[in-house]
Amino acid sequence: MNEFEVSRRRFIGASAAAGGLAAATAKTAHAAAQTSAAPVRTPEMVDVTLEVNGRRHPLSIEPRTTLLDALREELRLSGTKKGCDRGSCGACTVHVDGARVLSCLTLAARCEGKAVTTIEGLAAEGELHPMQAAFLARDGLQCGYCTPGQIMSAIALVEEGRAVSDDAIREWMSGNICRCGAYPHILAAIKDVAGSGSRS
Amino acid sequence: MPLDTGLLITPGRVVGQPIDRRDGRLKVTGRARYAAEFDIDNLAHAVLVQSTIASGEIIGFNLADAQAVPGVLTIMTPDNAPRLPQAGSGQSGTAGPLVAKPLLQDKLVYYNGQHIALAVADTLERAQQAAALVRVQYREAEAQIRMQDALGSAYPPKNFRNGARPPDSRRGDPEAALASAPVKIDATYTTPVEHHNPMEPHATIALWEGDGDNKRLTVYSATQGISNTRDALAKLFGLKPEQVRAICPFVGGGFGCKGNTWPHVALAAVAASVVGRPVKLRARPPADVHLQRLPAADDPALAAGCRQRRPSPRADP
Amino acid sequence: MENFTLANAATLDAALAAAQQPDAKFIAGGTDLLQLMKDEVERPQRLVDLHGLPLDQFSIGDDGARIGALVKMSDLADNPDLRRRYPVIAEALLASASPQVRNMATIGGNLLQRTRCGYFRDTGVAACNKRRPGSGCSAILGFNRLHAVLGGSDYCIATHPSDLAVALAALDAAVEVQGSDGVRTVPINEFYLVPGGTPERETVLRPGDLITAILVPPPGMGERSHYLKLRDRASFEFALVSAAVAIALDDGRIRVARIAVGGVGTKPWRLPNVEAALAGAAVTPTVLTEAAAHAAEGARPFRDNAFKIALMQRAVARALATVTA
Repeated sequence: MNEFEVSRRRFIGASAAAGGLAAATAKTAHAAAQTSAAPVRTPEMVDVTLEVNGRRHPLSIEPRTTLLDALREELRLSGTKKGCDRGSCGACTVHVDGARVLSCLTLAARCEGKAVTTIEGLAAEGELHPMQAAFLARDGLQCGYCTPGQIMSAIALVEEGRAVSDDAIREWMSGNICRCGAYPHILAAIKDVAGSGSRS
Repeated sequence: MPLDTGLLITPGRVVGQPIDRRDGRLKVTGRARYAAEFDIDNLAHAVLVQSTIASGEIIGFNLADAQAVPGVLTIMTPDNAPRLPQAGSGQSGTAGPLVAKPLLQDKLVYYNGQHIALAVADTLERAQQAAALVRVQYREAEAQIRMQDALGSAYPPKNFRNGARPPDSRRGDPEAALASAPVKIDATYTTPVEHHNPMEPHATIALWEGDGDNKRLTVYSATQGISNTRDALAKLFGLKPEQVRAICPFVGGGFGCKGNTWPHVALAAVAASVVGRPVKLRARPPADVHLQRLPAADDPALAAGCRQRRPSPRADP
Repeated sequence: MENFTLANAATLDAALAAAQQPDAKFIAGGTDLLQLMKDEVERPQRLVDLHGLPLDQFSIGDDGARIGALVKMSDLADNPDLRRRYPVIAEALLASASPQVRNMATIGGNLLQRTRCGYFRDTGVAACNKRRPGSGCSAILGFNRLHAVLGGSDYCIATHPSDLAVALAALDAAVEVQGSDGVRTVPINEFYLVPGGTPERETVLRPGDLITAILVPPPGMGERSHYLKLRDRASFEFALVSAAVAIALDDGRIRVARIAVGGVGTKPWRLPNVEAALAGAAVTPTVLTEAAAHAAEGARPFRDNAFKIALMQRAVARALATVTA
């Protein structure tokens, strides 16, 4: 367990009655169940198999579930971040069949048969994709919340052949915003990976 | 990895050297967990309902459609929300101030976007749908949103900075200095309203365990001050600080807006108590702006926009 | 977001049949529709998924271009034939949205995206004639910096957001539509409606109609085209003012001038008065500036957007200067 892991002490068995809170609609005691209560099943739910990072996951979800929410809530892959949830910030960027797209504006049910790659799927455990290594070496991040989306976008940018100049890189990364302002280091990381062919 | 103190002591080993940030690897691999991302069993989802008027009061809710959404666990409103006797305690001394309003304790509306209800369901989509189906009837009042218009009723505050110093300060003889100054500049400067807008929206997961003296509240919350959050929640719920745990190894930006313990954090905890399950509450970005009370915007457009109720010619009889 | 059923359309006929059901909408890229659904502005009960229909091909040749409605913006923008023959279209596409959005969004969907007016997209705002006919317009006396100075009415001044539509307007493109009564072709400059008294009606499409292709005539001899987009941010932002120009010269005199502006109109706005002023004219800075001045005719400024009028004139002049250089 690294220093950033959080230990979750649990007090098994005791109930969490409302106590000091006069709850008008108090439910029964919080059961210290080790398994999740499954959501109520409704006729709208559809069976979808998502292929994510090379593994297939059969899911029962509503059609309105976005790919982003399916990744984070159903598959517990929280590396893809929810920022604006409206397609403006790029934090939710993933690859679908090799192309960078916004998972917040993608319906999970439409991804059947497509290959989804997230930040977690870029490298084997303990290894780093060259772009991840470059972001680390160039410190292309601060709070880290935009970082997975930036990296997914940057990898695609290089594969698309867009890294021909500093201005071109900035333009082709314009779908990913960074409130901490790590842009100069993000640019440097991308140039490292794209190679010395870039002109300023 | 444990801190290598040898690195710090040896000159030239750290200062001036390219050192990877300690959290960098977790962040570039997507393994750093932020508030909404902790893997908690039996999680329920809460979505805020926010006012669409800027001033007035709620005279009624119609919850029928919202409650009919499958998987809804509760719709919390000022009509049924637990009473919080500590709400309204305002400044809490050394702990960061807990903004007590709004905690669904009354039906007054102070600003557009104020929390007025909370929908809790077994999936995020159902909570969002239920929140959108909450119908509210308002008695709308004229909103006072420009400081200039309220200056006539301004007064010196009685309790400024917890009484640490008086509200007005004076040094020397400003009137005489101004009168005899060779150059006088008298101008009014304004700044626009800005918002912190971190990449990570406000989010809290709250869960209760135990009862009586063993009752414990744990929040995974996007905060810039876990001690402040713990102290504010303990005070609000009448708990000892050691009964509350605030966890936030990584925050996705705050820039000040996650420094205070805002009402949604407490609302997540209240909801968790009501439904008897851990509750995750995440603000939607347009909602983010309304999680804190903003200072009055000196923007005539806002005033005009708020007052625009004149129907177009087509609507006239 | 409300629940809906999601049905794949295997054939064009199946898609058209499915769209006849009430509360049904087509979904292609979904980049605008899903935003509108998340904000509860659109609440379809059925989505008819168009992906898989054979509408994703395009051809560009001497007799013009035919672009299938499901062609992705990114695929079209990258095409060398497009860039060579219709630079205004390529430039408009590359100035649109972000790389991720362009990988998802389709040509047909881009033309049908809805206004970015903040009052339209906020269901907490009661007065919006486009979203709730008869309820009023919050923008006319409200915050209207981004709104239209051309083509508005007392009911609505919402700006049309598409860059591609402006480029196509300048090129006299046509929209191929298939409906229950067969196929028809609508010139782009007749495709969009000004709000008038019915801002909820934005195009001539009837319920169940499907855009199948965009048809672009071949460029005139020697015609060059260009798209200029002015906005608050350098990228990933809608236009404050944009200009699409297509010009052909003979011996330094203008033989053909086609100009449309965006960001300023309730629909893509052709400028026939500017075009007439340029016909046969020699290309000099004075000629271009004086011709561009006609763009302001009929413009109606509001409290926050009056700046758009002069900016539009200068944008037209600059775009003309660029394309005739």
